[in-house]
Amino acid sequence: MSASEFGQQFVNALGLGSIYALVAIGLAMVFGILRLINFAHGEVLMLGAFAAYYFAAAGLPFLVVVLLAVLTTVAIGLLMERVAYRGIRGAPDVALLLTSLAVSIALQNGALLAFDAQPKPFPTPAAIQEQLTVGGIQISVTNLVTVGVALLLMALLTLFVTRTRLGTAMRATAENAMAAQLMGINLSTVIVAAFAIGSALAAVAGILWGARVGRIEPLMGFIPVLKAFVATVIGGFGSIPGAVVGAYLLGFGEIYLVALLPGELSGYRDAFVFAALIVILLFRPQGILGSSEPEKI
Amino acid sequence: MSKSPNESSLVGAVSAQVREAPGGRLTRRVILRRGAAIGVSAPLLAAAISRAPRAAARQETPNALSGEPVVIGAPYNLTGALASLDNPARDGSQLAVDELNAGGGILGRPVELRIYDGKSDVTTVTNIVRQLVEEDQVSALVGLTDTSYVLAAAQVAQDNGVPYLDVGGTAPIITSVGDYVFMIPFGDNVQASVAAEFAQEQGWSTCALLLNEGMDYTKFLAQYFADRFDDDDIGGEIVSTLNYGMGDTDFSGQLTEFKNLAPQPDVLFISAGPDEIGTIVAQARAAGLTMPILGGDGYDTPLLTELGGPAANGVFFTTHQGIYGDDPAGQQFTAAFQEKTGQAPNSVFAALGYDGVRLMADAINRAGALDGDKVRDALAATQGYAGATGQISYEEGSRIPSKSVAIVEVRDLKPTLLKVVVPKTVAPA
Amino acid sequence: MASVPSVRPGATASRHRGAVPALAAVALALTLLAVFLAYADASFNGYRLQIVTLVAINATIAVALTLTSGFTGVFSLGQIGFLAIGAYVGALLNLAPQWKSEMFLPGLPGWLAAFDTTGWHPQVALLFACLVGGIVAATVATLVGMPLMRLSGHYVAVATMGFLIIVHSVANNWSGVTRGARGLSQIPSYTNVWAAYGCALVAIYAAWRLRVSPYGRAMIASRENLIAARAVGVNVHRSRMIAFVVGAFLTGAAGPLLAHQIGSVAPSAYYFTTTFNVVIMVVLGGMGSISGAVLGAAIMTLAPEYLRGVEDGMDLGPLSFGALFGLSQIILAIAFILVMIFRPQGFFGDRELGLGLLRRRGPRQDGDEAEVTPTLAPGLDVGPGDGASR
Repeated sequence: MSASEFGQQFVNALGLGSIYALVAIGLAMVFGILRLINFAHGEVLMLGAFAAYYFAAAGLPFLVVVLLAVLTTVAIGLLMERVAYRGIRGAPDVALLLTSLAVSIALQNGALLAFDAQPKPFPTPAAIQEQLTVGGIQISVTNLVTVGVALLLMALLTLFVTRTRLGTAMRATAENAMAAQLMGINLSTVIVAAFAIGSALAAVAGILWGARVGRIEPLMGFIPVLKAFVATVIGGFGSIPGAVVGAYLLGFGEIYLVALLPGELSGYRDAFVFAALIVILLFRPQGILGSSEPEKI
Repeated sequence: MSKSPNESSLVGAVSAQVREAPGGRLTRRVILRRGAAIGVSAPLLAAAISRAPRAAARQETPNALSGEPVVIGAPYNLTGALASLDNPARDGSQLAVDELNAGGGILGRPVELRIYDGKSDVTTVTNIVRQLVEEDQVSALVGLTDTSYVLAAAQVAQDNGVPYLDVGGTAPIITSVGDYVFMIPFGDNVQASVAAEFAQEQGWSTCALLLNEGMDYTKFLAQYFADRFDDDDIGGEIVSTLNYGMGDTDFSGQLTEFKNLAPQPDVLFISAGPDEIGTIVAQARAAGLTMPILGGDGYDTPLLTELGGPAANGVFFTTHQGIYGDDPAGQQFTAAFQEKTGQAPNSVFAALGYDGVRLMADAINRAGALDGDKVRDALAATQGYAGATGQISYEEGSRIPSKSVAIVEVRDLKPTLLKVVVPKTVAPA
Repeated sequence: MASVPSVRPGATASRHRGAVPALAAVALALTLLAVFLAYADASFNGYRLQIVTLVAINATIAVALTLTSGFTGVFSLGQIGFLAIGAYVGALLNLAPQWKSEMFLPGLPGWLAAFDTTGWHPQVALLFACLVGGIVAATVATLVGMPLMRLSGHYVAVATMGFLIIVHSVANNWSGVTRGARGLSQIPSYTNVWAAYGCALVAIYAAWRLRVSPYGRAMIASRENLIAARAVGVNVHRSRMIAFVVGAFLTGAAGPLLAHQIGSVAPSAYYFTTTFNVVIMVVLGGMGSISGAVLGAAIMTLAPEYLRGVEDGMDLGPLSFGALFGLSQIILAIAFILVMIFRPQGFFGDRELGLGLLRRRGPRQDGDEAEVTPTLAPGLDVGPGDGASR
């Protein structure tokens, strides 16, 4: 691999990893508090992208579109929590997981009915569709914007969870829900906050994903959420920094696997990614940044 | 905020189940009664299964048509991965049925299209085709656009002696299922050969190949193209082959690899489905790949220009003739579709679905009866049928139409017909 | 199942008290089933017969998953990978050699390419395929399970999902043997209701025998309380391995049944959609309940067939494009969410339809039900703390 190719793929991987990270944060946050692997998070992402599509079709300026899409998506995320997840709080892990799958299937097919199956071109502003050439490396502005937005949001999130009361309450709940409740933390508030933040990040991820690939469709949520799920496992279930690290590792792993594997093997990319995942689980099941050793027999 | 699941939570989980399990021991009598209930309910169950849905027979029926409607079964994957191909095809089929009912019907009888959703799942597809054939007793089958599903449906049709027209599956292997199975589109080997010969004409001798490894269609097309492109009379060279998976939307890894080929290939052959080609084209141009892009009829969707934008200019593809140029049948279809739905046909699959129903109706009328074997013989005898996707004739013993192939270039975001050709040599199916 | 050296359940005097009526009930149920199957076989058309057959095949898979996951608490998302292995093995064994060569499978070893069962009695060929499919799946399960069964909780779910994705990826890419995404077709239709229900009954019997054997009790014990189970000397890894491998064998054996029913094998048929379907069957019926798995399989097989009528029932507009395809999935999903909210343990929870039979035969069952019930609220107040507390 030449140096310029390496550089190009590097930027690529950073962009992909940033989107995975935004999705993975939402997954990890909800998992940390509720022990729920929220597969419907992918549909939240999809709805965020579609909200942006329709607001943009109404002719609004792009920043307003993003803001409205995020607000709409947060509302959808909270509604989802209220309707589907509040009733099964504390249910067995498997029940939680499958309920989120059912929510995901219902939302997917609802979107299929509402928006029809044809992919729609995503209205990416022309300003960020440009290509820059820096030292022989072609860089798409979309990638730069993606990385920038993701880093900014992650910095804000860090400030939030470390400097605010609610953020501290969230961390406390994730650490030990019962003790947190005994200390007077309102569990529902924390859960609502987690869903709201996760949904907002997913909406941004959906918009960035739309800008990256150029189109949106009702089934677009499954792949990102699956990858983000893998990222949270690599990073250690429920750990937000871990999820971010996992997301970037996965982004780099995917891009460089395609680049390095000989053509006839590149189809096996997912097999390699998941084989690596299993190996990580076996030798470091607590994930890259996980601190505690989970039960192993 | 790191934490880990462990066994204690499982204990909690399971104990909840145990605790909440409905109480009350079952007495033996109850058990026996329940056991008996299962036995008794079995025939009820069977009776319930047989409740055939009869819903969609509410088309307006002009006075001229009388008698029981002729029911044509239309299995389509309206949800799931294939939804974006099968929905337009379904719309085309429905348009054909509406036209038949406004005109002469089939054998003077009204026509009903019974549509079931295969959910892009092979098991469900066999279920619905069996339901159509054995439960609803349809007279003929028209539908499905991808080879994997077509093969499953064709087997059921063949076993039951019901004529089946494949709408979009282009793998020549389809017709080897049996003599009741006919194809509307040409085989992939035909369009791949046309594409390879066209590349030679244009003086493109090196080619990088990108293919979707998740579809029959794209795999066959790429393979046939590579075989023909390598042939001595063309003498082309495939310098790199990369693939991607079904549902992938980010192709930057593969495209960057192509960008780093030195020297750059003369042409990219991208064997892609309709969903992703616009995206690939846009990403390819963004990655700095400026050479012409060549492909098959999967490109024939507005998504190519919608998603590709200006990047779609300079894309060449082989496709079904009819919608392009001045073919009267194709123009007539386009106009009718526009009138009915308020928009131009959004995919060539609409025209294929339309041709499927029209040709089936034509064959039944020629057969003069609904018997499967008579309709099969009538289909096999089809010569020069003017479809919206070109002339359809089945040669003796072949159930793949020998159609000519249109070569189209996108200019100013408009697919523009270059020419209609028949390949010099066709790679064997 | 002969491999399980189980003590005959309740080999004491107490077993005789309920044995005769219990056997009579079982015999009656089997007879009624046989009568129904004979009736169905004789008078149903192919569509209805296929639905009846699919109920049995799905029940086999669901029971196998109950065994693997319900008994042990090791939640596997990889079950369908074994189904795929069985289906491909069955297809490659029983496809006509001339068709194998027509489909061009250069990766196939010569003996398998030439392997010819066309002269065999179809049911013999089917049984053979089921056995080989089961054995291959069980062998893979042994290799995969060795490391994976050491994991717990979500980790094992993720790891087994990884296994499913790997199987899918291999099936999709190993074109020389599997024909990749195009799949194998023209598989002769050998499956009939008798074979399907025979296989389901074998699975149910095997699961039940395992459940009441010492290994089964070890599985339940390790699920209920890992530390306590270990403390009394249960070899947790071994009991999980048995559950995983036997479950894989039964699922692998169901693969050829499905392949010979549907007539084709393609990777897309053995992926997440199918996985979720089977998991929902098991959870709906009650994790850990064999009869629940059967009931769940029946519901999840029949419901979509009923709901099909709902989808095309509406004509809106002149072109009647308004039919609501996808509605059946939405209805099923919402129904599932409601079940999870109002009856999270599924229909049967841990119990069996004929639990009284088990009770009478194996008094220890009572202990499972009543005593191991720690009053911890699940999930919320348990998991999160242990990171800090350890």
